Amino acid sequence: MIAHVARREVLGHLRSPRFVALCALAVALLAVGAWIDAGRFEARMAYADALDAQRQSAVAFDRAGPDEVVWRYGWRGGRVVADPAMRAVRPPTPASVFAIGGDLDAPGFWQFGTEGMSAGASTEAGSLGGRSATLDLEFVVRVVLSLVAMLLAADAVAGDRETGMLRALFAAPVSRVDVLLGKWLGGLLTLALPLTLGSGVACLVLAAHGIAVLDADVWPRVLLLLAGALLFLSASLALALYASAHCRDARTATVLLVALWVAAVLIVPNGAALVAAAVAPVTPAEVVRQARTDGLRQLEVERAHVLARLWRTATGSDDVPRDGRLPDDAKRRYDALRRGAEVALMQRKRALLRDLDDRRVREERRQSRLVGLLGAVSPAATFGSFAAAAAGTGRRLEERWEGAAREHQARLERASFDQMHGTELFDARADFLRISFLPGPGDAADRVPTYAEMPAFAPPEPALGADLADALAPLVLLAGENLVFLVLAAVAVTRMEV
Amino acid sequence: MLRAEGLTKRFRGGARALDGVSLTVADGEICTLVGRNGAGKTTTLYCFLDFVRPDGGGAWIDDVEVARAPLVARRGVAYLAEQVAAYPTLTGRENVRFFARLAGRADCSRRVAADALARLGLADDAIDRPVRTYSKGMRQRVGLATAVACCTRNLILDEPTSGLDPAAAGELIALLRDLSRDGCAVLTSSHDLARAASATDRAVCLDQGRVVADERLDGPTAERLERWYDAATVRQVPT
Repeated sequence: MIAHVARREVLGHLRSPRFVALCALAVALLAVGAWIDAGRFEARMAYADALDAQRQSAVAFDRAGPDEVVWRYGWRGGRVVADPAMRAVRPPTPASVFAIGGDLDAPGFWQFGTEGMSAGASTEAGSLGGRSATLDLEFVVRVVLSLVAMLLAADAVAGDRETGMLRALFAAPVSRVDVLLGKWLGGLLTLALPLTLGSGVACLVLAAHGIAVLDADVWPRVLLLLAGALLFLSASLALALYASAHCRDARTATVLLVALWVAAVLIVPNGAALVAAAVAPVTPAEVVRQARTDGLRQLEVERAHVLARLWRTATGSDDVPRDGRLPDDAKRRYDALRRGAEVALMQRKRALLRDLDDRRVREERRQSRLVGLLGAVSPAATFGSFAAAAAGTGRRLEERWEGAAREHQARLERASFDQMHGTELFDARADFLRISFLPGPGDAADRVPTYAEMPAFAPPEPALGADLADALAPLVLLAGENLVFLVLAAVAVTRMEV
Repeated sequence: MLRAEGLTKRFRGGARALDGVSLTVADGEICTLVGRNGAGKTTTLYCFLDFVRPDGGGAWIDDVEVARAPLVARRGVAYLAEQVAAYPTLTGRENVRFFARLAGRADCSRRVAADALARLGLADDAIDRPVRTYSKGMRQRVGLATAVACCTRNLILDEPTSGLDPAAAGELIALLRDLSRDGCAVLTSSHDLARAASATDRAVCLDQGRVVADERLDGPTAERLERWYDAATVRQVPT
């Protein structure tokens, strides 16, 4: 009987001009969204390609003049040196065309340097397209199709109650729960139509733009995304049926359900972000920048004192040669003394910067977790988390790249950054005047390694399994919400007075 | 056969809707519940459909107690509300098939549905038109056709002639007579005594949830029924 009622529901919806119009709108939005997202993906890819071309050009320049490289390392006034050759460029995630998730926010590249690693600008920073301009599959399902689900449910129970259809159905020898489940299943099958049709059209549009939707890393994600979308729409439908069962007419139900939709799609996710920002604030970027500047200045002063003292120890005098001539034996003694101190100071410097950055990252992640936790109240927010995880654009995307970048930074530190190249003296009597000497061309130990001799960055492999595992938690939550809403709706319909 | 014994029902807020209503509608009989608004007519009908659970007493459809086995009991009855419910986007034939299948008649083919509609006098060209183009009288025929297609032995109609023009009301009454001649027990409610007079074999007068008169009125005229009704209800007015 459930299937029989479901079949009638589907037939009724397909013959309703209102539903056909909404269905056409959803399909058109998915097609247009795919076209826009394909363009944005190409733009992000072009940005990544440009960064990579810049990196390769810098690497080529290194071959032309290796001595130039020395100035890119060392203390250099306490700034993280932005050497284009020392970057890991992150290309956009292919499945982000279906759920943009964190692909826009994640850094477009990571810069490596003697003072540590820093994240570069995100791929679309400053461009016209922002998160609000998203029109991907996840957005259309979360915003448009969930609204259609609400409208279908308003008619399915309260509308039928108003017209007396519900009385006619309940007079038949069928349990009310069967009638409800039939209406739920019919609504879900009806919603599956624009979803599958629109997704198919979107895939064709994306394929026409040269995006490999049939790639082994993409199509399983799309299938999972569609399955999750159905689960989310099912939960929306069940929630709407429950609310609709408390209304006597379709108009009241529509108003209530639109209010519910606004709460679930707009208020709860944004409210969760506001509450999380209040409960778990993140230190402002300017405060962190100031703390970095202060810390570096303090270390610079300490370094000048330490090196001036070591020079005195090595030579027995505070006199420093200002004519560029450094006696070999004095240089040898001085370098032997300063090596350990320099490495220790550099490590302290990196630790200081890393701690400051890590603290902010920790705060951001804590806030993000809280947003996820509070947003779980709304199936729409849960679906958003699920879609991002399924598409590989969830929080793991940035974590994975950042992890790989950290490992690479550590390799670079061992291979080059912790080595001393050239010599720096500080004249204590002239208020710590810095005097730098280039590495001696004949000194093999002092030679700056070329880029080719440095470790190459290994980008993280797409982790389909891990992403799908991440998508499991919100999927289970959606399934649980489904069950709860359906049980509530069944209880409401059973107790309903017709 | 439809039977009610000692039905009592008190709604939330304390209003007594039914107070020991008992009645029996035999096979082939048309029984009409008459009374003022709020007398308990619709509540009595709803007790047979399990829309209302009585606080006391019970309702039986073909000797199956509704409260004990509502699904089994409802298999033996067809119900037509005052506002006949039929899906407007479906055709008359599709509506009959849908409700017949819902009633467990999986074998209700397109032909069976069409035959039922034709028996109820629906024109051939209307059978496959969407119900939204039907008049109220035509929609009622769709509802009755479902009962015919399901071979239902009992029929409950709530204010069936309400809102119908005299010709359509006359046709409906003729259809009900036709069904009762086939052995169908018909229980209706009405506050239109003139029409009830020509439609019923027996009248049960309800007042404040109680049966105040239950009589078989052979060939009742509207005038006779009105006099009978007045006498029945006046007896209830406290002196």
